[in-house]
Order: sequence, then structure tokens, then C-alpha cells
Amino acid sequence: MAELSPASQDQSSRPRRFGLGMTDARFGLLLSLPVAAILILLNLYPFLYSFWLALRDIDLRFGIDEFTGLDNFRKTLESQDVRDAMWRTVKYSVQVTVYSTLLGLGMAILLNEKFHGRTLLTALILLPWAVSTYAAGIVWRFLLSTETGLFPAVLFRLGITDRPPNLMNIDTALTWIAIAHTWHIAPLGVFFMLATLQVIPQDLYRVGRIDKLNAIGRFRHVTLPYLKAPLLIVLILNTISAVNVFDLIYFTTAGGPGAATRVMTYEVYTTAFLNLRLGLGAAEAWLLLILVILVTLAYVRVLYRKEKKISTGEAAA
Amino acid sequence: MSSRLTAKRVIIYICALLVALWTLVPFYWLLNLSFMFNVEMNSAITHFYPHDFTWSNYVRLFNRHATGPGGVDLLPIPHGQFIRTGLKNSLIVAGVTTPLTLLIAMPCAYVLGRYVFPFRNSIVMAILLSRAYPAIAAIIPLYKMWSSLGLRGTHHGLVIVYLSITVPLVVWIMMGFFNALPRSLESAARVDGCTRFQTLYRVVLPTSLPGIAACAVIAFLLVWNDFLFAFLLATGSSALTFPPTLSNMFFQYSYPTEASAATVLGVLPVAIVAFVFQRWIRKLNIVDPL
Amino acid sequence: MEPVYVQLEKYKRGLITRREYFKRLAALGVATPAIMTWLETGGVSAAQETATIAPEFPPQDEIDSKPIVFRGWAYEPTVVEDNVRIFEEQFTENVDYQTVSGDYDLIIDTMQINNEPLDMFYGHEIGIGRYILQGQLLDYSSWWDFERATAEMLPAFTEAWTWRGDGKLYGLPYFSSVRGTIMVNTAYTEKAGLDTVQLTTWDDFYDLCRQMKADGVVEYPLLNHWFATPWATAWQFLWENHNRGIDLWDFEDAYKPLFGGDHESTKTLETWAGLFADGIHPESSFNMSEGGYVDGFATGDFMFSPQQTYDGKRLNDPAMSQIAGLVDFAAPPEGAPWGKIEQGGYLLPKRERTDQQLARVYRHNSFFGYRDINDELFVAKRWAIDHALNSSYSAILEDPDVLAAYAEWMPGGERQFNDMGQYFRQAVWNPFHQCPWFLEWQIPAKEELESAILGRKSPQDAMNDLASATNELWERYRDVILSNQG
Repeated sequence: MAELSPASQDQSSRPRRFGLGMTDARFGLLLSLPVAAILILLNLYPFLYSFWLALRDIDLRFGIDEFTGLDNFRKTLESQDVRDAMWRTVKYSVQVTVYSTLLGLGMAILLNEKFHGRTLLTALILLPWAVSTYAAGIVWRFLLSTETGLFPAVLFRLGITDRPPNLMNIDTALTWIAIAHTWHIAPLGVFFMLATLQVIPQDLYRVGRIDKLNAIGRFRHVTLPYLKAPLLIVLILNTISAVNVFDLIYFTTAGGPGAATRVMTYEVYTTAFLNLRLGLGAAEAWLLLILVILVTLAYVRVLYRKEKKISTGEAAA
Repeated sequence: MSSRLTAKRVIIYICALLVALWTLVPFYWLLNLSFMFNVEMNSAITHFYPHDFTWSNYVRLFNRHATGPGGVDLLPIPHGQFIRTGLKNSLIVAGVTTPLTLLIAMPCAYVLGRYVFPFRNSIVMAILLSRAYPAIAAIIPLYKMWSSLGLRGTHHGLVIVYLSITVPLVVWIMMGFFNALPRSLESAARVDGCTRFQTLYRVVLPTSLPGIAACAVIAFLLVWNDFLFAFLLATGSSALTFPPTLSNMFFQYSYPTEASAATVLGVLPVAIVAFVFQRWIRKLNIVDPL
Repeated sequence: MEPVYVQLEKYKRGLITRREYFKRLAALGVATPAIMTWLETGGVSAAQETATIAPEFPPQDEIDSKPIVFRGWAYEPTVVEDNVRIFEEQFTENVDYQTVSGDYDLIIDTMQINNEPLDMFYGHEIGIGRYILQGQLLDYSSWWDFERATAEMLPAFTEAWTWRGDGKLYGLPYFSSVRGTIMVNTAYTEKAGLDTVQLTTWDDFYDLCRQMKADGVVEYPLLNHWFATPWATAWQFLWENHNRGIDLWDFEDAYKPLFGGDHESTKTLETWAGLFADGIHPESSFNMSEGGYVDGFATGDFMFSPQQTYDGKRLNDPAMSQIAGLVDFAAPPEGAPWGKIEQGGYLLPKRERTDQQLARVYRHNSFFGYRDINDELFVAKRWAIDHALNSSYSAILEDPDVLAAYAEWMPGGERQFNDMGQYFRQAVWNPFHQCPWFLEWQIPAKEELESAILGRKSPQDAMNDLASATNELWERYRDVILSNQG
């Protein structure tokens, strides 16, 4: 478990001097210099540069580039398309987060049981995560397509529908993509929660049985308190992954049918890269950024709180 | 009592089966399509397994003819050349980015995990925030910068961009890893007269090899799997990596059978690597900051 | 104040704004539309105007050291490579040919924005407006065969490559097709006891579709041009209204939109929504890629579909289609246009060149887009015979070798071939295709039209919303366009 400050026991021996006469401070700064340079040049600078871009009307296709102040932000906030796209992002993220957290928890609890083939299954469930979102998009596109899809074919063969149905319609497309996203992202949560489940002392469950707690009671009173922090973190990770979704939509519906899957990332992509209006695109991206930063700050809070509360044993696990 | 236990076991096995199906059926379907001729795929209801099994989609991606049902000559898939170049470019870019990432990230992760020094918390915070930066937002300034610096559509341009993603992630993971190592490790080395650098290279890094290897795998996968950066920063160039070359098969004229075969070519190496190294990756106990 | 060309350079580098640029030009007393066009089309070459250059080429060592740069889209690259080889042999030439892959418009835009030195690239007839507007293309008017070549082309197809702003030709034909050619699955016409399908109007055609459904001939009689790409539904809306004689644009006022909730075109959209609501058309098409749309018809589930002429070959190929040998064309209406012209062309980007070098590029581009050393339409004929791509050179449409090649896959034989010729000869060109913001417009158009077809919005609301999105584009780019089309 990563922490935001190094373990306190080390600080007693500070400051120390060894061979080169170098202090901890210098050593630390020297070794983190390359990373700091990357962060400044490739993250901080583009970040600030994108704000400068957002203040300009840049239209590469028409060769326009002029300073327009906050005009792009005004347009972004006034745009009904942007509002709709934001709302879809929220709807999508909530779905992905709920599905993938519940499924991840379920799979983690299952894999914490002893059964034949558990090691193999634990290894297998990593695969959807390893193949990335674009591959997940392709795979699910093929599963759901009316012409070549497995699911429509099964529904038809079982006689549930009188022809292979169109599952990715204007009402359901967003949900199906959220399910595909769940397939991809849930394993990450499994590993995180499984690690925590495995360090819960078995004695506690024995005590629980003596107290005549049923399975649900044992989960509530023994497992859940341990899982609380990792569960929160998984929730947030899944949310951010969902907010940033792009490949999955590009490879499945490309924003359609109608505008049913036109989420905020797709809106930014359209403005900045299909219409080549970088300034307006940058302003829209800032709106997305604010959403992500809010979620990230929540994450940081959780991490800090966890650091304060959770026993050292788990933190080092 | 025993009957309840048996019932529980039955439920566990049913759940395990469902989880296995949920995980594997999508992959199966991809393979199924990739082993079919186009005509079979176009049949009224797509078959659940290839009735006329064929490797032809794979063969034809490598610029070879194949014989179709009824002896029809099937031409090579024109897009095959891009797929092959894409795989090569992905290998180059991921192969260069991975060692560079380790070289840059490990020392930093070590000091962040073990030392207190000025700006330490700022760096940690910056790493966290950099991971939160949505890719689509990051690409807009990069697109402009890379165009004016002549880095658009080049291998090194992509490597630099990917470093900005892999380095913070690996630092984050290894920071926790180094922090969890026993303190006695370094004190013993220092008592033996090692400098800080010597301690790091002779004692700490060798002990951390499994973690470093797992990070190498993660960095490689991250680059190999990226679609968006390559798509927007290398489209139309000879440095285009695999995922965006693949995307063209979906929006142009091509068949799901052929596109499936091409997808398998990109996904299979990743699946094998992930399967082989999953134990190490799991031991890292990563909390991907995002 | 600095001279005009310095101002132009500053403007191009973003050192001064557009407004400032115009202001300074006005101050110099040169900001008349004519001068603006002259500036935008780039000085030197435009000054030579109609003067034909001589077919005199650089010395061989210059040819050997400086290849002609040709970038092509990844369609049948092996055939193109072979054509390049033949060109090099015929003229002892030197060509650097590479294919590009990726999002096509993004690639070409990026190449243009980065000023990559090119001598020829593929372009779609839709989209040349924005390259010309930025002064990135050179026209073919000083090419020695210009008059002869244009006389051989079908006029509507030539019109498509002629920029409305200056009346000059900016592309030579690579392939031509009619998008919207109605494909007929004859298994169903036989079942319905129909002999041939003769088109008259879109309304009659849709009535026929309804009839087929009512008679129980087929579940979904129609697979319309409604698939997932931005150029699907939006394009059919343009061509169908154009075929119906409904004007959507004021071409004289920088493509001002005329449509809105109470415009005639709303009826077209109502008809569409009705087709969908009544189960004449499937829902799954909205998730299909362009290839998937062709393959969708190849499954044999549908009776009619507007497709590209050349896809007839693919649909009749037993290695690719369930209905091979069954796909005929509906006969086009007598004397009325149907569908839209679809063309790829060879474009000539601007670059620093001497007259001899330009002559060399003309020779190269016209080998691909016109005739070879033996005065044959070699490349066009090869595409037609091997890949069923057709040409706007009417000689290809009448060539007996081409007919023989088409007869191999056309179940309707010579009659079908002649129907195809008629689609070509009657096709008209829609000036909106040259609108520089065409690509931007496609995106809201797709959304609004689909929302109305799928019953999510009333056709009136959808057309009103589309009109307001279109008005924004029109207002934003109006001045730039008017100053160029003056």
C-alpha cells in the first residue's frame, strides 16, 4: 500500500551523513530530479498551455488563431450539447462504478474461498483488464452486433425473440458499453480487495460464528469494516476510469445511435480533433478536468484518512 | 451441517463457473469469428463455432493468398501491411519506453518511499494529479506542441509522451513497494561502508527485482495497449502503432472475421504476458492511482 | 507599411489576427475580393492563369535525384504500386509512393497544416473546399491536356472538381460512383412476382417497400443509407432532398441554411421516421460501419438498399456474399437524377516548383487521372475491370472490355450495365459538397436526423435544432467564404 509520507520510524535517524557527504535532502532531490523534470515538462507545462489555448479561438482548418479571452468557456457553459454530454458522462460513470465495484467485490469474495481451480481462475480474471479498453470495445462490439453477435444469436436460438435483436439501440447502448467497461475494469478491484480479504484474521470469523452471526452478519460485522477503505478507493478508481472512457465508445458506437453515447470525452474529441477547433476543445476539456479533479481530491482524502486509521499491519501488506 | 456445507460448495462452483464464462466467453467469440470464412459469418445466424474451420484470415494478413470454400481464391488482406507495421512499431515504442521508464522511475520511487526531503510531498501530489489528467485533455496541448516541434508521427515523439504516463505510474507503485522493505536492509549495508548510491544499486534494487520486473510488464502493457495517444499523435505516419492501425479495419471495408484475426494478433501477446506474470503483478498490490 | 506578401506571411504564421490582416490590407488599398482570391490562391502560379505550360521536363539527373511525392489511401496498394512501376518505366520517372492509414480527414488536414511537400494525394470530392480556401491546392488549368481531358468527362463530375470560387479544376478523376444506386435482392423480387424494379420518385420507392412488407415478402424491405459513420444518414438526407428538388442551401450567401421545422425537407425526415416506426427498416443499421452496411445487405435479410455502384461486385461475390448472383440494380428514373456523385480524385498540393518540375507533376498526375504514354485511359480502365470502380470518362462507361468484366458479376448483364451508365449520366452534383465546413456540419446532422428517425425527437424539433447548429457554422465562416467566392 502506497503512502503519502514515508514510514515514521525512519525519521529518528535523520539527518545522516555517509561517504559522499550528501544529506538526505540532496540525495532525495537528486534522484527525483528526472521525474520532476518529466512532470514539469510533460504534465505541468501542457496543463498550463492548454489553459492558454482555451483563451484563443484556434481553428486549424480555417487558419484562425486569435485571442478571445474567456469566450470559449462561455460557449462551453452555454452549450446544450456539452450539458447533455456531461449528463451522459455522469450516467455512464455511475453505472460503471456500481456494476464494477459490486462485481469486483463478489469475485473477490468468491476467490477468497477455497475450491479447486481457484489459482487458475484468479489468473484468468486478470485477462480482461490486461487487454485494455480498445480491445474490450472490439470484443463487445462483436458480441452485441445484430449480424455477428453471440448474445442476439443466443436470444434468437432460445426463441426469446423472433429474430436476432438489436441490443445496442438508442436506449440501451450506453448501458451495454458500461457493461463492457465493467468487464474490463472489475478485475483491478478484485485484486485490491482480495489482498485485503486475505489479511483478515480467520479468528474473527470464528468469533463471529460463536456469536451466532449468519453469513450476511459476518460480512457486515467482520469483513466490511476491513474492506471499507479499499472499497472506497476502488469506487473512485472505477469512477475516474469511467469518466475518461473513449476507446470503448470509439470502437463500439462512435457516439451513436443519435447522440446516445456521446459522452464528454467524445464531445472534446469532436471539437478538437474532428473539427480541429483546439481552443474550444481545450475549454471543454477543462470542464472534464474539473470533474476528474473533484473525484481525485476525494481519493486523496480517502488515502489520508486510511493512513491515519488503518493498522500498520495492513498498510505494509 | 454437512448438507449445508455441500450446498455452499455447489454455490461456490456455480459462481466460479459463471465468473469463468463471463471472463472467457468474449475472448472465445473473438477467436470464433477469426476462424471463419466471411461467407459463414454472413450466414443468417452466426455459428457458435466455425463449421468450416480456417486459418485463412491470419494467413491473409501476412500477404498470402488462401483458398476459400468451394476453391475460391482469397486475396491477401490489403490492410495486412499496416497491421504488420503497427505491430512492429508497437514493439519498438514499448520496447524503448519500458527500460527508460525503469531507469528514470526507480531511483525516484526509492527516495520517495524511504527518505524525507524538500518538495517530496509536492512531487507525490504532482504524480497523483498527473495520473488524473484525462488523456483527451492532455492530447490537445500535446498535439499542438508535437506538431510545432516536429515530434508528431515519430517513434521518439511517442516514447516521450508515453514516459509521461508510465513514469508516474511506476514511481507510484514502487514507492509503496520500497517503503514496505525492511529497514534493516540499508542499515546493514551502510554499516558495511556503502554510500547511498551503492546501497541502492547493490542491495535495494537486487532485492526488489520481482517488483521491478512486474513494473516492467505493467509499463510495457500500458504502452502496447494505448490507442488514443498514438491515434491522435501519429495518424498518417509510418510510426503508427498497432491499435490505431487496427481501428481502420472497423471503419473501412473489412470483415469482422479479418478484423478479429488482426485483433487476436495484438491481444494474444498481452494475454500471455499478463497470464504468466499475473502473480508478480498481484504481489505488488498496486493501487493504480488511476 | 510592409508590402502585401509580408502581411500574408505574418497572418499565416499567426503573428497577426485575421481581423488585423484584413484591416492592414484595406489600409494598403488592396482588399478587393479579386486581390483576396489572388492572394489566397497563392500569388505566382495564379498569376500565370490560363497560360498553358509546355510539356518540357527537367534533365534526367534531376528526375533521378528528386522523386515525385505521391501519398495514397490504403486501397489496394499492390495495384497502385504496380501502376507506379508502369509509370516509371514508361517515362523513366522516379516516384516516392507511400500509403497512409488512419482517420483520413485528420491525416490530410494534418499534412496540409504541416505543409508537407507533396505532389499528389487522394482527395474526396467533398472536402476540397477547405484545402482550396486555405490556398493549399494548385489547379490543373495550365496543364496542356486540360481542355481535351475535361471534354471527355461527364459534365456533372467535372463540376464537382471545379471550385466555385474561381471556376478552376482542382482534381483529376481517380474513381467515380453513384452513391444511392438502389440494389435489389432478386430472390425477393421473384418471390413478389416483380419483373423489374423501375424507380420514379423516392416516395414511390418507399411505397413499394411498404407494399413488400404488407405482402409478407420480407420482414425488412429496406436497408437505407443510415449507418454509424457521420457521412451516412447526413449524406442521404442531402442527396434525397436534392433528388426531390428541395433546396436546403442558399449557395450565393455562403451556404446559408434554408431548412428548419416548417421547411419542405422536414417532410423527408417525417417519411423516414415513418419507415422506421412502421417496421420497414431495421434498427441495427445505426451501429454498422460502412463495410458492415454493405455486408448487412450481403446477409440477404433485405430487399432494397441504396449502395455504391461498385459494391455490386462485392455483393455478387460468392466469397463474400450470401446473395451472390442475385444483386441487380433498380432501373433509374427516366431523365431524373438519383443518388449522389461519389468521386475520389488526384489532387495537386502547392509546393515550390519550377515550370519543368510542374510539367513533370502534371505528367505524373495525368497518367493516373487521364491517359498513359500510349494515350490509353490505362489506370481508370484497370480499376474498372479489376475492382468495378468506374470513371467519369464516358469512354470507360462504354468500353466493351469493361462491359465484359462487369458482365461476369452482374446478374442483369448488359441491361444492368446500361442501367448503371444511366445512373452516371443522370447524376447531378450538389454545390454544398464544396462547403468548407461540410465535415463540421455532418456531426450535428447525424445526431439530429437519427434522433428523429428513432422517434426520440419530432422531425420538426430535430430540423429546428439542426438549423440552429447550422446557422452557428454559417455565421462563423460566412466572411471567410464570401471573401473567397466574392
